[in-house]
Amino acid sequence: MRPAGARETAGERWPRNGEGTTLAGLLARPDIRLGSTYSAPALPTVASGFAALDAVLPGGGWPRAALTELLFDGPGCGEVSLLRPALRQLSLSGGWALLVDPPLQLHAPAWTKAGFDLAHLVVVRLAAAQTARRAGSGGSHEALWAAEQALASGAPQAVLVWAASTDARAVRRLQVAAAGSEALAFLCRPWRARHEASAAPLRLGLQVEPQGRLAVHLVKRRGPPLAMPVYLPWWSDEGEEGDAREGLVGAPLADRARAA
Amino acid sequence: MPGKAWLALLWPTARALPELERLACWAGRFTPHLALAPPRALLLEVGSTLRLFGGETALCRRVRQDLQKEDEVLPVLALAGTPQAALWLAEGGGPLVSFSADALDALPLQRLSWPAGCLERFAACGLRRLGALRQLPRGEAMQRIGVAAMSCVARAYGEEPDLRVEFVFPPRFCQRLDLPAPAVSTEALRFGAHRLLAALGGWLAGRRQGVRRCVFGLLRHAARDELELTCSAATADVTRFERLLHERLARLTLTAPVGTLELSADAPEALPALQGDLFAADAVEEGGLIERLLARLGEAAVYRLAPQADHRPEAATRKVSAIGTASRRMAADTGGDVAVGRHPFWLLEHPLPLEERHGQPWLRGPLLLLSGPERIESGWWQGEANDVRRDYFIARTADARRAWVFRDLGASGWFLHGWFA
Repeated sequence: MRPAGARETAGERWPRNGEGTTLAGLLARPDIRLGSTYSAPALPTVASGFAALDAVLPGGGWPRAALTELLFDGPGCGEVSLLRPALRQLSLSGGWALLVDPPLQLHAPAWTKAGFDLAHLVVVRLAAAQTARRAGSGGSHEALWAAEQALASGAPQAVLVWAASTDARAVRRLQVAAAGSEALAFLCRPWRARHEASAAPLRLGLQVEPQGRLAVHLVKRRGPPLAMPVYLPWWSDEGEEGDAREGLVGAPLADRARAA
Repeated sequence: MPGKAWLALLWPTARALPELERLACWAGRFTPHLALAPPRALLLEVGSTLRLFGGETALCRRVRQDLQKEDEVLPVLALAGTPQAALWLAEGGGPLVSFSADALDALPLQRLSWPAGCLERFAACGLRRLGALRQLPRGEAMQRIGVAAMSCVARAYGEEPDLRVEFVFPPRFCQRLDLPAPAVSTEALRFGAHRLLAALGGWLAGRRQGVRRCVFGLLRHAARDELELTCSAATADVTRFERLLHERLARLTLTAPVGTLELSADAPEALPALQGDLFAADAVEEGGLIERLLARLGEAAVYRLAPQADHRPEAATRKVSAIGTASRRMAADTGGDVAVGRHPFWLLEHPLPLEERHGQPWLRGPLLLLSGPERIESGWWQGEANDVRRDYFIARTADARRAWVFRDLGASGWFLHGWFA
């Protein structure tokens, strides 16, 4: 039996004349919680720009003050398109992003065309570290240092780190640094790393599909697990021209802006 | 509170001669008006800054604390209404803060510094205290003790103006510090560098200016190494330089012991006014991070990007300095002249030659051409090597990623050049 007080408040809002006994009525009661809906704590987040993704992310977007892992193999798994709306949003409000050790060169015209303001991107690429990594001696030490410094300084609004070989301790250090900051923090790792334990509270796997959909697997999130991936539009073969491309991944964000 | 107040810093005779010029630069943090009193003293006019530092005792405590922090030899401090009185109070060891004539009167003559020969004459006249000397009839004293000495006395009591040559902060800061022992570790360098930076800070405060860069010289017998530290904007906050220095020293290995450190800085700039600039704090914060990244990782590793008007994809991106707002504006303005088709976010540094199987390009499986060709042809005027004639295609890999491949029309053959992401 519940205390009398709780019963009263529930009774006020939910008249007991039969309605509370149907399943839908029971589920609508504020004092009954369904196990499959995650408890949504008030997390500071930045909308991802994809309604389907925001719906399954705790807090409704990319978490600030926490590390998010993106797990995918090789460049070209939709990683830039996925982050584009959020990064653009941050850049519009004057923030900038630090890209630590991206595996390839950024092709500036494409980034500009996709709506990125290049003045709001700072790239750290460590040639020495890359050769060391190729030699297999864990050369991402400096990259980790740079990312930690960036998160600790609170200067960039987003920090993206690419790391081919990151051990659990490095991930933990990044998570600690991220937790102490306001920034979005992303760590890109190979897909196989999903089997390793990780301190990051949010881990997403990215996979592109032949038709051009992007499948986002929620490997780990705060809340109940999600078996099915979330599908996002990524590629359209008609998207030859800039405008069409704009509509491809930029649309959800534009909709939001209009709605707001 | 008196209009004028002079603080004397007198270094004890038992120790090595103080480097007055460096210390004068350092003392610029307390007042822009000061004078050297060789061989062992500095005189700071602090009347206008006493209130700022919270009064006499607070100022003296602060001076001592700061000196202790720099690990300097501690001087005797004395505060009085005239420079000569302050100096004598410090020498005499009486009350160290006094604006009254009584405290001066009580000073023992033998402990004060005088023109040559005066001390013998005092003894001959049976004079012990400054008060007694002052009570002598003026004409007689001038005759028996000497004009120079008596004018010192008059200046001390404020009866005559004390015209001292004010220390002029040098237009270019360049100070050397001989290390107590040749430094073999960067740790020992840090210690000396801290002192020099403290002097630089005082120099800048005294001039009310900031600098953008300073250069540390590491000197050994004949050789000289230089460490250049650059901030994103002119600053008077030497702790920023110190952080940069620590990043640099952390990666430096000394090949030979360093005997002398030298710090130089020129082209000081007026500091921007702080008021009205809401974003000043942000700018400093961001600058601080990028400065540290640059100091540790080097300019080649930390940069922003800007598009460049060039048809060749590999030349369509240029690196611009990560520092400074000017370059940022530039990055936003230029480029974008060349209309691009659907180009990928990622570009390989060097196009990767691809196998060709059954007339199809092959990358761990067949590459299915989705769209193309986009003909890119340019650069012939820049010589053979830069001549580019390529047909670009968007291709789907076996794992469904989208690759940017081209067929070289000159050399023939397929190449992978980028990834759509």
